[in-house]
Amino acid sequence: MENSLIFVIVILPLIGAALNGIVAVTNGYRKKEIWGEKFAGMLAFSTVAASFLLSLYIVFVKMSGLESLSCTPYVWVLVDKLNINITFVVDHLSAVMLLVVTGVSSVIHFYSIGYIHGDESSVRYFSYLNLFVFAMLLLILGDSMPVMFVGWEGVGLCSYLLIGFWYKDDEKAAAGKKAFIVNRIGDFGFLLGMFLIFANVGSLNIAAVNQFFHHGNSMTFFWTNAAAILLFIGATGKSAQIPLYVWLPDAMAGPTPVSALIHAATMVTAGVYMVVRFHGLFLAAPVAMQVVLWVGALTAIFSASIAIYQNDIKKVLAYSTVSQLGFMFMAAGAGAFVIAIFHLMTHAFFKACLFLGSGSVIHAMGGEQDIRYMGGLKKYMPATYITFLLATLAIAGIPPFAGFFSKDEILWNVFATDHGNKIVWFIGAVAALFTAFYMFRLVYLTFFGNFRGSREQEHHLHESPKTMTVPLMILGGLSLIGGWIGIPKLLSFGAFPNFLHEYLEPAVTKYGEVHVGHYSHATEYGLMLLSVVIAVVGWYFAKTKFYEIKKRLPDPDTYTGFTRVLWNKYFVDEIYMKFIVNPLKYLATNFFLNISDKKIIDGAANGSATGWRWVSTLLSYFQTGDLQAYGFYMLFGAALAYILMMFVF
Amino acid sequence: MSSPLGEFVTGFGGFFTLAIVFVLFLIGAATFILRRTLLHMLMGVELMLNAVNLNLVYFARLHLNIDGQIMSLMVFVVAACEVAVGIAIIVRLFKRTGTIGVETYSEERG
Amino acid sequence: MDFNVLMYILSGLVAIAGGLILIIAKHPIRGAMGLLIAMLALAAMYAILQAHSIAVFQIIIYAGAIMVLIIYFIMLLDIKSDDYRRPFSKFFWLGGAFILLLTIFFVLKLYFAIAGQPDVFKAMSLSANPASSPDTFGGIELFSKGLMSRYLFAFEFVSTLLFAAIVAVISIVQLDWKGRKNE
Repeated sequence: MENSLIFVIVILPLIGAALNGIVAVTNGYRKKEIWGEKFAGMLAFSTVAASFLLSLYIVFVKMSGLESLSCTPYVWVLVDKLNINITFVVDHLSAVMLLVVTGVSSVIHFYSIGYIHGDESSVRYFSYLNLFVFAMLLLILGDSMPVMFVGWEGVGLCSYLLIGFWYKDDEKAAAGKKAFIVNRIGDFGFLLGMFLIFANVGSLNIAAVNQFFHHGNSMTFFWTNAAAILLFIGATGKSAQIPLYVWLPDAMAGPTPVSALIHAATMVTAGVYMVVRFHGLFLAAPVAMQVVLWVGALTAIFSASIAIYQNDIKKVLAYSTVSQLGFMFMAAGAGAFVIAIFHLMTHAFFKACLFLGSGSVIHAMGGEQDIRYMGGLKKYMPATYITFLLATLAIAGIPPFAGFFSKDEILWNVFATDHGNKIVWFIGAVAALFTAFYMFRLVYLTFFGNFRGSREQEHHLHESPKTMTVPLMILGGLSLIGGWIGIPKLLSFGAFPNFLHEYLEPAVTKYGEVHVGHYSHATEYGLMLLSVVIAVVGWYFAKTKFYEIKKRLPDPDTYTGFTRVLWNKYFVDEIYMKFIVNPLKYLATNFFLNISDKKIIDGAANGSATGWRWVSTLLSYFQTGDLQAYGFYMLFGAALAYILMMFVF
Repeated sequence: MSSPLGEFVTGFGGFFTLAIVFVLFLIGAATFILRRTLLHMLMGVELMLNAVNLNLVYFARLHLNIDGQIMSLMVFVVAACEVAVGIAIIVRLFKRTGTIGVETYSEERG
Repeated sequence: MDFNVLMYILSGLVAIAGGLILIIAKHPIRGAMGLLIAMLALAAMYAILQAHSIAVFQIIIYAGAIMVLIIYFIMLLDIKSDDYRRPFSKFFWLGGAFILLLTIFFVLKLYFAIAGQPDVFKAMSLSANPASSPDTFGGIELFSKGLMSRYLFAFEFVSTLLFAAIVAVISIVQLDWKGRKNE
């Protein structure tokens, strides 16, 4: 079915971005601003909110009973067999993503109005933010790989622009660059996978690709898996998985709403979405599924363990995001695509809430991000505290908060399906324990005990304005109830259906289902209970260690042993620097700059200039100015051409 | 009324006509290159155009297709334009320098 | 030999002779007369080739109008000038040799090409339009119908070209309407 409203959904944020972008540029030249941050913020917010309302209308009214709606505003490439349209498709899968992205984006745009208040280039900020939403919508709704890739690159670009938003600070600009370069490595994998698929399938349409791999394809086992793994490399870059996760913690240099929107709720989940989108391909590639499963599990435990000893409030949340993304990939790798999307959704709610809450805290602390200097904020900022606590309960997996249902189902599926296995389940369970621990540590250090910062900061402490607390409340509420649309049948005793499951099931089982092993209900209940116990144990440890502490935490420099390794994030950045970046730099300077560029390329350029000067000097002897000489050359040339045609060709 | 040339057109006449065309064309080209005055150069060009016209007319007759003759009329018009403009230019040059020798006009040297 | 064929061959030779007069004659009037001879001979060839209208145009436009233009121009010139005493440019030997070589080459090439397959022109004529026969070919009616239907655009186009040439000539010569002296 065609529906051109979808196009309006996509284009609205772009219009907002264009208007704000133009004004951001012209405001720099003119004495009088065309419009200031207030109007820019309202414009950005209203475009995204309009997109959200239209999405609601499309998904719940226009799409009821239909499998999908599409809209083709433009034929992009039409060459021989290759036919790429700019087509936007809303099916059940992209509908969920569409609502999550536009919904969370609207909330965060609203929050940004309060947060970015007083910044000199806030108009530019809103332009970038809108552009990001546009690119993300392209990524979600594009029905062919190139359109998806444009969105994929677009969100990467916006991420770069927003991380380095305060570009006058070298460190922040460097963090932006790091994110961009690491993402490029992943994108390279995505591109290679796309080429491989096009060479074999002959089409780049996502549905066609899935269909091809679903019906016993002609590609060999090796190449099928290679294509899937190459796409997954793209996903590891975008979704910050091992080995390309290093950019995400640094990306916290950007403004906090950006961290909430891009680096927690939407962009980083693009990789998960992509894997689910290509589930036809991934189900045909068992090795790639195992890779996804294991990378997800290792990332989950790895970054959860790092998060335990971080002292920067945003760094903790960043590593937590990486870890939760690992959970999503575990679900995808186990073949539980519905659950991956479910966790993606609940994670978008509670992690956005956590980030916005941390933004509120940082706002109150006057830019201070170190939790060792916080404490006791509960009584100063109650709204922030309550919502932060709600989201923490959700991420830790305490029922009946959103995170419990999704995380429990991930662990259950990893335990039970044919693709999952028990070792990965154990790793996931330990990661869940760590999650509960570091999140409650964060809550206790930030909001409990006495204030450990300077007197000046204490004097300054205040609750954030309404524009910031209202979004927090919305997201906090969603953290509480967001999981209820996916309550497993077993827990509700069939009292009401598992809405999300029923909605998504047809879209993600179209190209093959994953067999779930047979276990008794007792096992399932037991595992569910175990997840709760894990969460509570993590909470308990955190409470015994950090509840109501009076003293400041020790300086990280005094850490020894394994703690020191964890504090230094397993020295991964240093290892990358030593073994990848420095050799590349060496190669770049000594080979590509000094030999290839200076000698060969410059030599060729200068040499050809000299050569042509010489040739033209020679040729100028023929330009005698004599008309008849020119006539002679012409005749000579014509005769030569004739003779060549006769005897050579 | 029968065709005036008969079998000649499809036999030796083809070779003969093409030979005449070549020779006339090259005589025209030689006039253009070798003679020293602008006037002769112009007349050489005229001769070359005429040679080409003969070619067109001959093949029109051979293929029994009138298009060749029509094309040669177009060549006439182009030739007339060329002579008119060419002579006008030569008149201007002659008035300026008092000569139409081509060596006078070799200022565009590289 | 048929009279028409004889006339055709003779006209061709006369045309070449006229061309040779053009290139060799020192006096420009003689050169112009050579060109005139070549044109008239070509007109005869056109007529024999059943291109009657083209033959008439050849005489009216070329031999008439254009030659008159050229001869009028020659009358403007200073015939005693140094330009006509040395008729050939400094290219004479090089260019002449090249042209001669080219002529010999092409004629030989043509000869051998046709000697290899003597029926090549016959084959061409057989593949021709079967609707018209050699007996009814040519004539002003067929010519005009083609010119006024399929080639109407080209016809109008060259008329525009002629007009442009007239404008160009006027602007080049710069008629001094108000007694303004040229140069």
